[in-house]
Amino acid sequence: MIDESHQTIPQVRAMYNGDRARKLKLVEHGFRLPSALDNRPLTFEEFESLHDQVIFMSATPADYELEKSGGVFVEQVVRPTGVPDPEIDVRPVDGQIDDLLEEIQQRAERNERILVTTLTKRMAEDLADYLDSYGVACRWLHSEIDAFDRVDILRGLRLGEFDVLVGVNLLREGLDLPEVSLVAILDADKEGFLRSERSLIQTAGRAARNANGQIILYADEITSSMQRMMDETERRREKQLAYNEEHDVTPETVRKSQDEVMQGTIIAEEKADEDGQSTYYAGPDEGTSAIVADPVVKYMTDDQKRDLVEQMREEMLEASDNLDFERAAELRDSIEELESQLGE
Amino acid sequence: MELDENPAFDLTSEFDPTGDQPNAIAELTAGLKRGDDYQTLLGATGTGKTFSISNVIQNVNMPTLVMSHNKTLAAQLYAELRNFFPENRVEFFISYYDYYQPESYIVPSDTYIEKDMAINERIDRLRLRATSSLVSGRDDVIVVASVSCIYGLGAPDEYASQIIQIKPGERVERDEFLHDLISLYYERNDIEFEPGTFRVRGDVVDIFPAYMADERRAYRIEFWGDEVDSISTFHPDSGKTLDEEEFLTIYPANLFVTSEDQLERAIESIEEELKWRLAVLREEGKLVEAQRLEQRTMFDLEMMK
Repeated sequence: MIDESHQTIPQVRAMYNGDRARKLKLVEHGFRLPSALDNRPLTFEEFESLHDQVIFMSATPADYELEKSGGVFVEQVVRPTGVPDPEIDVRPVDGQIDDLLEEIQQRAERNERILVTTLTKRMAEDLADYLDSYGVACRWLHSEIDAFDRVDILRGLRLGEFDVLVGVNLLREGLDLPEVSLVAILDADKEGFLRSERSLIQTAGRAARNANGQIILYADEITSSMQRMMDETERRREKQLAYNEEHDVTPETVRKSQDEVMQGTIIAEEKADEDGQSTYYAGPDEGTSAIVADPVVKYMTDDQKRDLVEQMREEMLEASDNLDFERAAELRDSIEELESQLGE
Repeated sequence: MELDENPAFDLTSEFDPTGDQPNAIAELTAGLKRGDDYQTLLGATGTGKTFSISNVIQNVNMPTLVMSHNKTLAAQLYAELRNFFPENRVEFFISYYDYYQPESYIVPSDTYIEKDMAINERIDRLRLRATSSLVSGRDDVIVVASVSCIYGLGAPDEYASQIIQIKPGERVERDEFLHDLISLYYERNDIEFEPGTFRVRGDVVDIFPAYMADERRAYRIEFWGDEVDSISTFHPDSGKTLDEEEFLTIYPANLFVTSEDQLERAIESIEEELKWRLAVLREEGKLVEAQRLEQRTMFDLEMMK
């Protein structure tokens, strides 16, 4: 079973080359014997030849999965809870922060949680500060937060220790957060990696466990990614609502008890046992790769670009730590490109 | 290794499949039984993908690897699957590579980054337990793994051949048994009873495998002459007896199992490779590199011996 296959498969594919590039350097310069190359991950072809039967799982399968399974998907869109995909609302960018603040306050009163995604880490940080200054209980999440701390933060959100979580693209695949009734996507029309159809669908999915779930796309125009995402959501909603009608189902949010939340996030406690001795990092999430090609860059001020460079530099180091040299190199090129734009 | 009775997957949940789930479960099950190599479950968020695949796993009753691209999700899957299958072996196999900075050399700045082996003991124990479950011969095993599970781990046969199996009534010399434990990398420590150690008091041998540390269970074997009198599990802290055992399998204390024979062969082949490689480097005029390699390799060989 390959979970979130649209992410996992590309990662498996990149492992061999990354590992080899690193070890070749070590061998060339006398740090290792050539046989060090023998301890390596599988090539993608070997990986494919080793498995017997495979089930890919994803809300947004990629072409590879489609091709392998002969173009046929087993679809599962109706939720046991009867909760349909959230409704999508497009609102203007002008005044987006104040509008968002109002939405947040309404929901916080109803004891519901809110996720907000921004385009950069800096924007996430600034927004969290701003909301905080208006008395909103708010945290932000970024890629250096390690896996165990991240589960801890998500647990805090679920338990209501705070109401709003702001982040760049860490709010995506598979995080189970039924308490979240609103996902606000800022700059939804800045088409690119973080606002692709797949990315939008995955992000919107975070509000799909709550019967009051809603998505607000702050955008001045409707991009083709947004359009496709809205069409797909509409198609699912129709199917879901028809099922509810036929089976007389009333959508219901699954409210998990405090104990259940604690149990489901038990792994967060393990870090405490280890006394923080390990050098955890957040793991191979998608980052800002190919970011310079992202049209959003041209909307950025020089200061924002500098922030982006800084952020990408951190991600580059992280990628190389993770043997993901292809991405590290891609980021390195993007940094150079951005710096030349900045004339630095 | 064959077991007398191979336990089957037993899904425990207060819910029955509903919505799209019954359909998805039926289709995926049929696909597997038909022998389809690849299938895709397009599951929208919150539709209970984990519950559906758990039903599929129960239906086909096959040992299953669940791969995830990120550790948060892997941890979540692990927790959910453990809840669904409390009677079966649900294991967690995530990477060392996620925990240490890999050794590397950055040419322009002449920077060498040492391997920073901050191996998390808990991760190690979980990995050991996962591997043990797989070689145990049971079919009801689910391993939740990160992508780095595609690194080699040594030969499964080698791993399986280096286990100890005993049962009450069997003729085994105590000292021979102790020797076997040491060859599986258990350390004798009569003072502190820690994971990975054993202690001896007369005819009683207590063993605390690292893969049992989470459950706080250890084994006690009582000898009578050159015969195994009884085997039991007990709590390593309180010493309270938990269960009597009819049969016991002890797995190596360490995942990277190497026999003395193999070690000797390895040393020989390293020495040979070193000789050859040094000649190449010197011929290319890479004297610094050659000296570095010689020094480092000799050091490692010393450590191995």
